[in-house]
Amino acid sequence: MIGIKRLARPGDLVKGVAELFARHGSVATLEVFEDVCFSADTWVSLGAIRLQPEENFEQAVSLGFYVWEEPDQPTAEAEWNKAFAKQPSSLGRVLDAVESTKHRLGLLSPLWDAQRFSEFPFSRPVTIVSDTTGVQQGALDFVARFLTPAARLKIPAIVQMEILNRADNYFKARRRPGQRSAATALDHILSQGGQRTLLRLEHDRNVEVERGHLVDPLRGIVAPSSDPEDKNLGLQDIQRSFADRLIFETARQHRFDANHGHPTYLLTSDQGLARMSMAEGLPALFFQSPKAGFARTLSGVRARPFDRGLFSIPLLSVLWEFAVCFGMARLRFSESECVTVCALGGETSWQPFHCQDDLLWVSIQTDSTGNSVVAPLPLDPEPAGLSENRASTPISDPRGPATKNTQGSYAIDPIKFVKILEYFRSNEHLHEEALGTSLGLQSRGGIDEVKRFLKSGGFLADGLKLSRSQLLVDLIEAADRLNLELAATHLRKCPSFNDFVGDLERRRVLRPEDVTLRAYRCYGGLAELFGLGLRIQESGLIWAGRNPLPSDFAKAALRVYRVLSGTGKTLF
Amino acid sequence: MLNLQEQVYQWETVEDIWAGLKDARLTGALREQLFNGFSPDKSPNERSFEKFDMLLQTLKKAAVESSWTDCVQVDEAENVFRANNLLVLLGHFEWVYSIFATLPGASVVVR
Repeated sequence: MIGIKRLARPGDLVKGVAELFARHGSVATLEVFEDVCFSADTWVSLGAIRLQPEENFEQAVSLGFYVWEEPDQPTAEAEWNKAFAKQPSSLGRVLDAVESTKHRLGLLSPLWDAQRFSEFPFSRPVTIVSDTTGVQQGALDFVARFLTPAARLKIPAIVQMEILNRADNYFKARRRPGQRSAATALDHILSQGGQRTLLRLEHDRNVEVERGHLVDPLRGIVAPSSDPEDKNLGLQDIQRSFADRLIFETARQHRFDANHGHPTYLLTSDQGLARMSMAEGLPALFFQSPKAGFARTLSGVRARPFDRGLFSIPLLSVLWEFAVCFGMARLRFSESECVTVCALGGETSWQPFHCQDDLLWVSIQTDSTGNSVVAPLPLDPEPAGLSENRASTPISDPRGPATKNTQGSYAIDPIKFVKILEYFRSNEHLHEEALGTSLGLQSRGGIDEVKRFLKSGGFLADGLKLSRSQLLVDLIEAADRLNLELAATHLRKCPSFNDFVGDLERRRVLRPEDVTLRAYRCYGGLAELFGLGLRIQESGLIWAGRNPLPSDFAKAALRVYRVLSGTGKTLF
Repeated sequence: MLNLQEQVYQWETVEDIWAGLKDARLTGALREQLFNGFSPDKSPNERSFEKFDMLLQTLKKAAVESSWTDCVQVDEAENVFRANNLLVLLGHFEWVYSIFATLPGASVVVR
């Protein structure tokens, strides 16, 4: 029995999962469980996750340094057949749905129509109207990930309704005994996966989902009606062809409303809908419906398709996605040690705020006690690198013993820091979007890093809304008056920066190899900005925190001059 | 008018795709097969997708030997990415192959 203990975000589990990987040779099995369709206590293995850390396991978990080794086809089918009480006729579709989940995550990419693919990435704005397959099979995620902002998205109302209809089918079956087939599991995977995709896009501030003032055409056709004529015509039943036509009409209506020459595409893997769309003069953005693959090695780090960069899929995103699709997913490290994430089933509940923060119910079961314990939510945010010495800390005490490691730092360089001060000079509250724009940050990770830095130093006040603290106001005022000594005192309230400066003061000189490159670049720069250090190319970062009186400085300078004079040496 | 050649997709990488391979002979052989086998001076028939498929089979075997190394790319928080660069390359090539393999007359150029 799984003890569901606490709500957590994916980021809250990084430490706990990293420690388990460190203890178990970097390998775990990814397993899923559907509590009404699978046989009791029968988890299905989706393959082995092999972490690829250099040293830092937490970084490997959070940045996606892993490979996923899929089982071969006979092994996979045997696993699935074991889970379903009777031989499932729709097992192939369930396996295809699992493949679609990998596409949504970005572990695989859609197989596009070659002609349309050659138009990627779009150089001018286009609108992409997605059908239900686009949402469920990962093509919409690909568009959002790699083709925005040129591509604007439009989700017809009927897509939401089709997904909701499938969810309704699932929950009806769930409440009714004897309806526990693979088809029900398929409804679970596709409906919950589809809704998660739509919510993810809604919360992604880099994605623009169009919602025109006009309602979707023919929307009323599926509205409740007491008209006997409607009943005779069967218009209340959402038939496949109706739904397809409604999606097409939405795209056509959008093209009609858009400016002349603004391209509109219909995103679908449905051949019939694609053909109808082309026959009506609307280009289809066609991709092949994903088919189950076996015995592959998938990488958590992948090449971006239209530029020279890489992107990664964090391991816990994979766990979260499968937990939502099946109800439960876990990383199993041994017979008795696992990390379980639950979205549905057991004693779980759901509230809208869970979606906002991607909260699911988690438990970590350890070998030592046999009890489920949960990694507590981090109360004190810590910078990357501070926990490197904790890899062997028992999971029952996830925070581990207090350590001092001045190599930890936030990625806050002087330019970013000055922009933060400028932002809070004119803004009392922290609005993520505005802060991201002010600092030129594109990703959620960058904004979170700034928030962690501000929280660690007490620069944000407690309250319902994140707002600047009095300490931050004092720091801004000190900086404005060029009172660097006072400003530095305030800044040193950030523990990791204070540790860095303390180390600098103790050693007098810090060389790049003494700390991490990031700490040297970012905190070294901040130390220079506030007169605590001076970087000299050949020597390193030199302590400059003393602020002597001019008379004392003159005496010291003369003393050094006398020592150096006649020796042929120079100060620098 | 007939197009002699039309570029429909291009991709480049800044990463050292051989960084994870320790066997110099294997690296040399792969480099030869990749760059010389698909050099632009060859005719399109000599750079076909059938030949590209053969290359993928070779890369698939080599990717098993390749290890994870630090990458050139860093993320926004200055964390250095790590990857099995050959596995990343293979995954991308397989995807490109699946999209274009059936396109009549399509060929591959590697520089």
